[in-house]
Amino acid sequence: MEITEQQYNRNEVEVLRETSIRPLRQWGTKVKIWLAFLILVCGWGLFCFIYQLQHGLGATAMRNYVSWGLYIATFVFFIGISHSGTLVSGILRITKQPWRMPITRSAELMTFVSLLFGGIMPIIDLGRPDRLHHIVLFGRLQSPLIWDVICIGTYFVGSSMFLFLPMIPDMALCRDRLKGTASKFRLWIYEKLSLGWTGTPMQHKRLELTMTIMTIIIIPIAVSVHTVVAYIFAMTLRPGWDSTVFGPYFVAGALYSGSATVILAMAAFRKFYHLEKYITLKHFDLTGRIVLALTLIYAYMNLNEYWIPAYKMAVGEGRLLNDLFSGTYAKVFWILQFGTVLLPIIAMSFPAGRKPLPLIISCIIIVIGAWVKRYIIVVPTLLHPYMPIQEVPWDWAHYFPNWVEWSVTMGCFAGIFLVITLFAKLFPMMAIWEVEEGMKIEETRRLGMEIFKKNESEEAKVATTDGNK
Amino acid sequence: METNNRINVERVEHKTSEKMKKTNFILTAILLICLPFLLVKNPVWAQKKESSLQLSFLKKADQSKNILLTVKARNEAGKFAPAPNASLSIFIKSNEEWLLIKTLISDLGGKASMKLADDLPMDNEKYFSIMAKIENDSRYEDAEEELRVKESRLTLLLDPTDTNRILTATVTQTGNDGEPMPVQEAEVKFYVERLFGKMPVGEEFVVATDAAGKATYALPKNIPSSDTLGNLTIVAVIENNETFGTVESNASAKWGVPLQWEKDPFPRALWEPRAPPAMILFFAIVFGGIWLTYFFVIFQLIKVHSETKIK
Repeated sequence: MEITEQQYNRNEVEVLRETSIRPLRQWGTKVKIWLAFLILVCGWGLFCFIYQLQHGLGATAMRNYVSWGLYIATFVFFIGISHSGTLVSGILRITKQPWRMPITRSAELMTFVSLLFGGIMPIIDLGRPDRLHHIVLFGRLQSPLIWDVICIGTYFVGSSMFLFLPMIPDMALCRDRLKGTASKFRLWIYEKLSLGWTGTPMQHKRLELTMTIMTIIIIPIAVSVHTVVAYIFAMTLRPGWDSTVFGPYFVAGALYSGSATVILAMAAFRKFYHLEKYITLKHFDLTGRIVLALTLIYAYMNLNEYWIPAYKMAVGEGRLLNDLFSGTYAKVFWILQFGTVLLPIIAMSFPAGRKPLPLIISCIIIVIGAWVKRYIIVVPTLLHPYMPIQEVPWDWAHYFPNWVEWSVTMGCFAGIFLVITLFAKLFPMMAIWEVEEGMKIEETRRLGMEIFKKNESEEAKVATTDGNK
Repeated sequence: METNNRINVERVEHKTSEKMKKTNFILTAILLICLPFLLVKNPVWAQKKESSLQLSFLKKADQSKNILLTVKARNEAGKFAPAPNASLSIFIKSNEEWLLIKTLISDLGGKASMKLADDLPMDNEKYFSIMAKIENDSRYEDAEEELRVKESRLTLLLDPTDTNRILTATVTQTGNDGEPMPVQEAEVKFYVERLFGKMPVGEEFVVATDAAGKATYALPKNIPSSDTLGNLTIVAVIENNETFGTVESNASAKWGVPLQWEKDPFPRALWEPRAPPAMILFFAIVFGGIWLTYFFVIFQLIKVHSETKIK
């Protein structure tokens, strides 16, 4: 029996829907073990945080000079990762890139989760987190710290909405499709989150409108967030931080690490959800090109950030730069420059380097490098104040995170994976309706091309006939 | 069959109890071996550190007599560093015998101090002797330091009506007849009391006493006061004198330049109660705009929901 074009499309859509929803139907043993492991690590992190609360920040390796350590470095890293959603989803949506559709959900989720935990990190770093509400009661608008709170809060609300909006039609799909297989509670969640979506033209119109607005507004907010995060460093008089380029430098670093994270998330969901049909080699190639471009920008910013003060070698900056270039942090610093910036640039410059495996390796290196880079930005500067550290106990003048800090930080990383895993088991990891629309557009384009070619050949025939006449 | 099963069960139980006995025995043995090590808080094999003691005498302005101790011990790097938690015994000499008067423990900075009684036993030359010892301390080697001090009296006089603002310090000691006797050639230093310590009143702030035991200094008229009334507290000190130790005295007068409060010294300070209006306006417009957009989006979502209901 011959399958008509309409039937073929319907089958394609059916396959797409089923592929996206299938992982939500069952929770395998491997997932349960993975969740148990994550809960365990989170629990240990929480226990260590309670220990830190009981004993104060003295339980960490932080002292008077290094009052921002691993926690704040990780905070900056998480905020950087949060740029992934804005970049892939926002920028590609606004430029109408059709290939973005299968990967936007994972990018938006990364933004939401990394912001959630990024916001927690400074609270963990507080000596008296019970006074957190004082930010609202006594906070001063003149302080960059308050700008940070305002910007991150606004960005978190915005990115939550940005994640939620394209989920509405998919929630309706889950509501209808998972009837009988999902629990009542889950169906209730789908019911509530779908906002009663029935797919009327008016509902579509409103959804398109809100998504366009959010796409436009979320990009400047995201840029402002990382700029303001940079300001909390740059607006203090410290060697290494006292820089006018710090805002754009942080934004470039955030985009570089965020886009690499999107590729990692994309690769993971492609593998575990069997989305090879929708997330293709083309996606890896194109996102690889984006990461390459952003890494080049980041490398350029890096050069500016270090070359100008290194040329001048002013006293305060000089002490810090000598320590970075040839002192305590030299090995880490040069590995970061060559290993996590230059090497990925070389690898991704070739088409073979943008194939899934080499690209994933490059992205892992970039993400780890971005995290260590934040540490290198935060800690060495604090250890090199303009007034040299003298006559203080040894552990005040040196810093390396202790077991409490590692445990709490690892707990937060586990928390990120836990939220992502739970999300991926409750909601589809592809914006199904958007991919469907993409397929329709593709189909229309194909049909249009066929008609165009047909008309063209007919015109050519007519012209030949006329010529013969 | 049943009997065989029971025998097997008994064998297993027997084997298990044998294993448990063995385990208990090994654990008990380990505990017994470790117990002495655990009980000895400061084990004998721990090497004691070489220590040193510094003892000084301070007579404060309120006439109280104090001794100050600094304990140091040689650290791993071979340098003398403050020695915390050292046990110190303080003795006083009375009729050629050393009497224990107090035991002290040094603080984290290796320092300890104590107030002495007003009537101290003195020898024929009107000196009293104090000795501090580190004895039988588990962490520090024995050390001792002796101090022989003669009591003196330092008075500081300021005449508030004096336009020349002359500071007069008088140093006396108790003579053999029990009467005060002026001390000549004692170096008196003049300071102004400040929030975090003492500052010299001028460049030549050290003056030796004359035959009458007096040291005078003309206070400069441009010294700023720490309040709006012009109050200044002047401190006269004999510092680390071989015979008298450290002796202090102080007095106050309205001889300072009154502090002028600046109404708004740092108009752009972080601790200012209000942010600059331009900044408030900027934040209000930008973030107000963003949040209004959010509310508009939420409103649209409510509309999406209500359209279903209508349907």
